[in-house]
Amino acid sequence: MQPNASASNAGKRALVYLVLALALIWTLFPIYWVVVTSLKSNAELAASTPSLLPLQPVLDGYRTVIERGIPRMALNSVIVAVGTTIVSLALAVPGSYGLTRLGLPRRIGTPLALAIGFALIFPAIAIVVPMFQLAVRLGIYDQLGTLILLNVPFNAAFALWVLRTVWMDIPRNIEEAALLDGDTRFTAFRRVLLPAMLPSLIAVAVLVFIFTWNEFLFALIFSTSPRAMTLPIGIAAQVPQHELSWQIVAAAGTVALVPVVAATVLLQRYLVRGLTFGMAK
Amino acid sequence: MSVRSLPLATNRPGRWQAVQHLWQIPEQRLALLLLLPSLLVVLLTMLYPLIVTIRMALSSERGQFVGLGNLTRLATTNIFLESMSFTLRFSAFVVIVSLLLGLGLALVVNSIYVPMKTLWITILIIPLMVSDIVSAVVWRLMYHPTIGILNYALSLVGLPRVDWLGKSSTAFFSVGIIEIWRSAPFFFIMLYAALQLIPPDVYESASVDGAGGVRAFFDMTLPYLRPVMTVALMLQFIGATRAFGIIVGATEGGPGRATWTISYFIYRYAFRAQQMHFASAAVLVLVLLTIVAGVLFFRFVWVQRDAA
Repeated sequence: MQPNASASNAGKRALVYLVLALALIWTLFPIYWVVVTSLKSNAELAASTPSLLPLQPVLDGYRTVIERGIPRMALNSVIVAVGTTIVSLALAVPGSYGLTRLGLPRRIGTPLALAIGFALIFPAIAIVVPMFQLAVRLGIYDQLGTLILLNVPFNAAFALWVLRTVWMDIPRNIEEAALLDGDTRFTAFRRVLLPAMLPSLIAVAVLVFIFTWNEFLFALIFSTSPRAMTLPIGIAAQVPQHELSWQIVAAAGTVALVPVVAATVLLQRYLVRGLTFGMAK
Repeated sequence: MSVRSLPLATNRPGRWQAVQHLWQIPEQRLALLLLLPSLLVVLLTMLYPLIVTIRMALSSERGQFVGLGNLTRLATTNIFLESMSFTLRFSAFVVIVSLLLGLGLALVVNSIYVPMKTLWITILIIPLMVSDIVSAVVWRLMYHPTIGILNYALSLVGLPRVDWLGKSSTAFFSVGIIEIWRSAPFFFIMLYAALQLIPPDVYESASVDGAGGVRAFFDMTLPYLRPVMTVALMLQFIGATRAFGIIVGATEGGPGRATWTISYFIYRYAFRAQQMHFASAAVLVLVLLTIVAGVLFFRFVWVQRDAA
């Protein structure tokens, strides 16, 4: 051991803490700032010295947001996100099972998996014009169901891609043992496989929910009235042009942030697994 | 040898025959049936619009056939070329800075000096879950020329105010930083996960050799991280080239047309200027580039997965 080892360790430790402190500010300050701004009054917002805490917290921003129909848009977002999550998983769970666990030969399975994987990088903007014309022609423009239909393919592809790696990590013999015990494929799936993959399933479901909750492009083009507008559209519409009433858009933004941050904190362990495509255990 | 393998190769049944053959085996028939709904939904969502887009791109706004007219007009439309250039420069800036930040944070959090790693991971991945529109709006508030906290901070140290999003010289970096805020956590979490998979004996043998610090990182850590890094880089680069909500939320393409991305160009021409056929030509270019990126991407992902 070198004599100066402990001194250099102290230096390293200080550097690490400095980096972490900066990372903490960089990550959380914008979120803190939107919440604080949502509680400020017009007068406080216009002050030349921005205060780090709302001096006299008021709910004006939230009151305006309620008047402007944001709760209805939040409800619409929940409907689209829940609908998309259910349909995507209903497609992806059997799909990924079929792809990985029934002995499909590689030369068939690989191109099918790649075709679905291609949807992960396919630009959403590329389907918007034809789908817009189709939706108008079919009379399903400006409807929540249409938003679900548009969101499902991309999210089902994501779910299938992640669940595929999850299935590949579950040992084949636990299923075979169940089959020998007299289970059918379906009861073996429900009794043995489903519990084994449940954490990953939760992760994928929450991620699909959040992706859809956040989705902006389809919502912007395929909704014009409050019955189909989602929260991101409502938020974008509250950005003040010349006046300084930023508490309104901040309040709408806070409404959108709450479930996302809560889900991240509560389900962190599961989400990391889904985000890294099953790499993190 | 080649004489013998040649007839074998031609006798090899094609994919379609292979599928027909699979259909005879109950288990594999079930596999195809389970996969079919996802496959149909995903493929139709890409193929139907693609066919319509090709048809539209080849005709004028009034529906007359113009061949490659829209595409040649696109090639001479400055704002399209500028949008392309902005998109590529923007994406490159975003992924490079995000990679460096994410890698740095992954190494720091992974170090022995950091307690409560789970808590740090939870905090650091939060921006990944925040929508593009909310991120754009929050940063727009912080960038605000008169009431923004950033300009207030500058004024405290006696520097002049900056119109962060209002000048084309600063808008590029200002919008880039918003996207980096959302993108760096992805590199962090991917690389942190990859660091956990490095076998510890790699470092044990290194410390015996006396290698440490920077050299250990380049000799031992980096080779393990490289495949994950490549995947994350390509995914985030492709994601950044799609930037749309962040542009609408932060700058609406401005100042002037300084922050138009490809997606924003297509949106403006198709839905504001009502030139859907011209916009379709741009979609076609984007899809072709995506196919090229896809071929490159799955080369890497697939090689990595098979090797693992």
